[in-house]
Amino acid sequence: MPSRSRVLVRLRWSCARAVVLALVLLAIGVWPASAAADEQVVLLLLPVPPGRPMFDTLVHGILNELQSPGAPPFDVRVETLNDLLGDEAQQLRQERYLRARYQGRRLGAIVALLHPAYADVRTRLGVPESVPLVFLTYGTVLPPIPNSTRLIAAEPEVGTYLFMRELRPGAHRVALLAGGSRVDRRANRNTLEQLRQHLPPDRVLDLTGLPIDRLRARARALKADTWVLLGNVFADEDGRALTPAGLLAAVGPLQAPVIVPYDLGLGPQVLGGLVYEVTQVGQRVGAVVRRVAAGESADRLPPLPLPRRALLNVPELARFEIPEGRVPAGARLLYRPPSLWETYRRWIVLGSALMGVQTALIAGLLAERRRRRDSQRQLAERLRLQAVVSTVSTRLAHLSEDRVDGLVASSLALIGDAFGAEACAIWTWTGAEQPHLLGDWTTPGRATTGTTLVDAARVRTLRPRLEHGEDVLVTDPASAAVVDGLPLSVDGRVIGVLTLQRRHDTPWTRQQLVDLRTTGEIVATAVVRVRTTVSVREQLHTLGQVERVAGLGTLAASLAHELNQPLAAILSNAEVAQHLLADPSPPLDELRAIIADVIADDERAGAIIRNVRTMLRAHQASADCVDVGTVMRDVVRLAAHDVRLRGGLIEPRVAHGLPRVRIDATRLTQVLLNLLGNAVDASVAAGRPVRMTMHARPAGTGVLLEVLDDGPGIAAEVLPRLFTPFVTTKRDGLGIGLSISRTIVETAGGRISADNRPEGGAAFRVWLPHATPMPTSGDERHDTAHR
Amino acid sequence: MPAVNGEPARIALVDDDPSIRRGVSRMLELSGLSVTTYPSAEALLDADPTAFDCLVLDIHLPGMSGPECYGGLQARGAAPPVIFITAHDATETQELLQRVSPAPCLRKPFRRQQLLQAIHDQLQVASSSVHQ
Repeated sequence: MPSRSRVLVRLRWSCARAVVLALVLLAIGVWPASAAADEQVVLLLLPVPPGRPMFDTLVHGILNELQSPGAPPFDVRVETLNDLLGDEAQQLRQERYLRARYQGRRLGAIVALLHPAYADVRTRLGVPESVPLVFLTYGTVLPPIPNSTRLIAAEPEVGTYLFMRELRPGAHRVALLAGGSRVDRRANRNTLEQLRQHLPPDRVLDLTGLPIDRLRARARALKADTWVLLGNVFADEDGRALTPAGLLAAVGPLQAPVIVPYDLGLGPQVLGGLVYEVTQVGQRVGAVVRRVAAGESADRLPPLPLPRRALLNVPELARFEIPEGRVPAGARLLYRPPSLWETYRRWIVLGSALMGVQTALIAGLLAERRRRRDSQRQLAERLRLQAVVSTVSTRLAHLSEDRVDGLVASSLALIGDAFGAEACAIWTWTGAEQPHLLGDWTTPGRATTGTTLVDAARVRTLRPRLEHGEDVLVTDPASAAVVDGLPLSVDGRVIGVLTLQRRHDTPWTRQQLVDLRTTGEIVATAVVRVRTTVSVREQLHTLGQVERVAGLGTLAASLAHELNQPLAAILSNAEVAQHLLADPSPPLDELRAIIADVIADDERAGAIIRNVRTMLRAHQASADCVDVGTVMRDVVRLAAHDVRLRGGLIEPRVAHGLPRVRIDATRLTQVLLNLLGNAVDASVAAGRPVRMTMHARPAGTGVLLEVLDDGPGIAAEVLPRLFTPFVTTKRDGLGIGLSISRTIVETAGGRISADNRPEGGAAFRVWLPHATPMPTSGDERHDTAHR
Repeated sequence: MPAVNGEPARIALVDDDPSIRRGVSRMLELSGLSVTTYPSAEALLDADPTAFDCLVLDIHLPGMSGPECYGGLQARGAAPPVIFITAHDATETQELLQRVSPAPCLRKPFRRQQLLQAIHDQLQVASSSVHQ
């Protein structure tokens, strides 16, 4: 106990210090008086320093109410007075400080706990009696205090216990739990006494003021039949501040149910209680403060009982087997174990999203796979059809006229097979004539129906539409067959139709149609080409015939001469013989010689006639093995007279041992005569005798025939076109001789060329390959038979 | 029978065709004429053409033609009468002949009588010109 003098000294020092503090505060401009004049100062006096959750929450509630928007501003100051955790000296220092600060101040209100220590707070702080007091009481009973009002939180601990006891009648004991400090023990003494009024004293266990280890041991030993009531918690046995939650955490899990008086004490290990919600308490305090500060008489405000609410922890209810049905209405159930949805909402949402994504992905992949398979199938189909197109086109590339029908048929088989048709056919037409069935094909083993469904009459009917480039569809309801008709155009002109008969009427894809048409057109084109070639060849053949006849015309003089010679000899001999036979004993030897001569001359004339007939005959060329030398000598003999007549000179030079060549002798004759004729014409044009030479000699793998002259040569501008039909320098020439010659030579696998000789004159060269053995035995037999 | 001064007339036959040479010479010899054959004009010229009473010349011969040969003989003033024969009837042939000399020309094939008559006529002309 400090002595009086020491107190005075301390007081004097304190006054000096207060003055200095006031000066310092004044200097730094935070003196409370500097606050706006219209702001009312509300003083909150707490028995603990700031930092205790319970009181901080309370203050928060008060401030929350007083500082709500639109309300007149308050200058709320929280101060500590009668610090429960401090010693007397501290309490005194706090009081002196507050007194220095607020003495004589006209405050809006002072808020304090109803406690004897605060009953005369105005006096202690030197604040006028006119300052209203707002007390918060926890069941403390005090005589009336002038100019004050109260908010009553009646016996929170006992209240919550009594409430909970009804929920669980089996629990017949209660243990009051608090920190290990002296303060804890003192602050809960009242509660213990109250509990003992409701229970036999031996059923009220005092677990306040115990060191934490002992507290833990004793608390854990408690069975479920004991309520563990959380009291006012301040500090541990060493004075270290402790919160209710901190204390529970330190004690650890308990077998007994834990109940609390304030909502702040609620937690996972707490069963719950009939609790004061501290923030709401603060707000109600704030509302009262507002009223008294506004001038309302505090005394006239009746004491306000504060509401409480049952807050219960659902898992703990379950743990202590309290059916939720027993919980009174209005109670709020906390910590309800979230439903699967609540617990795993994020996961469920995420999972669902993932599943959605996955499903979409799978669907996408399936679609993609299907698409890819489709496109692969299409590609395969496409490649297959392309292969058909290319096969058909390759087959028909070197189509010769004698193989047309066979190749058309096999191409149609390929097409029909590839496109899954039952039957297919190609019809063509030219001009106004009837459609002609080029070829058809029917699936092997199937009754032929294809060509019956589409016949010449049908094609004729469809022709106008086809010629417009239209695809036509013919259906036969009787046989359920469908026939597609695709127009085939060659060089932009529809020349026919490809018909395909199917059992189904699935429309073709565009690509299939294109492929079909392409294939059909390849076939049609090939056929048309072959026909054209044949036609050109026939025309050329005819022209060749004309040319030969014309050539013979020019040789007519020569022919007459050649025939007249043997005829003259025969006539002479015949007359002699006739005369000799008039004799009764004719000279038989003479007659025999005469007749031999007649026969020889007759044969000679016959050979000439045969030659001419050969020349004139429009025959199918037969490629025989011929001796070039023989042909050449024959030609020279045939033409020599004519050449000579026209002032030319010709000499054949045939090398010995020439290989035979495979060419039609008549045609070779024609070529050589043509070349000779040209030379003679050149001679006539030159107006002077022209010397011609005909060579035949081996060259490479064949025989080279040269017809040389020393005439004026070939004009440079004509030379490149010399073998083109209808190019001529002759006034009355057709210009087909050389082009026919070229055709003949090239058909035989040879070459023909012309140029001017360096020494003057023209040179025509014909090269013909050696005759090789006939390719097939059939031809050999044919050959042999002719021999 | 054509004869010259009681002797068989001497005939030179020039033709490049051996068949013609044999047949025609047989024909003339059957008529009692003396025939010598030559395959070309050059061969005739190598012999003595003046030794013959009449020449039978083919127009188209290899090398020198019949008319050319006869023209040369005429130019030398040693030309016996001539009969041309030809297997040709082209206009070129006629032109060629007219260029050289107007002489009888037989077209092959010809009858024995035609040739004998021609020779006879030529011999007559020749003898009459000699008598004149």
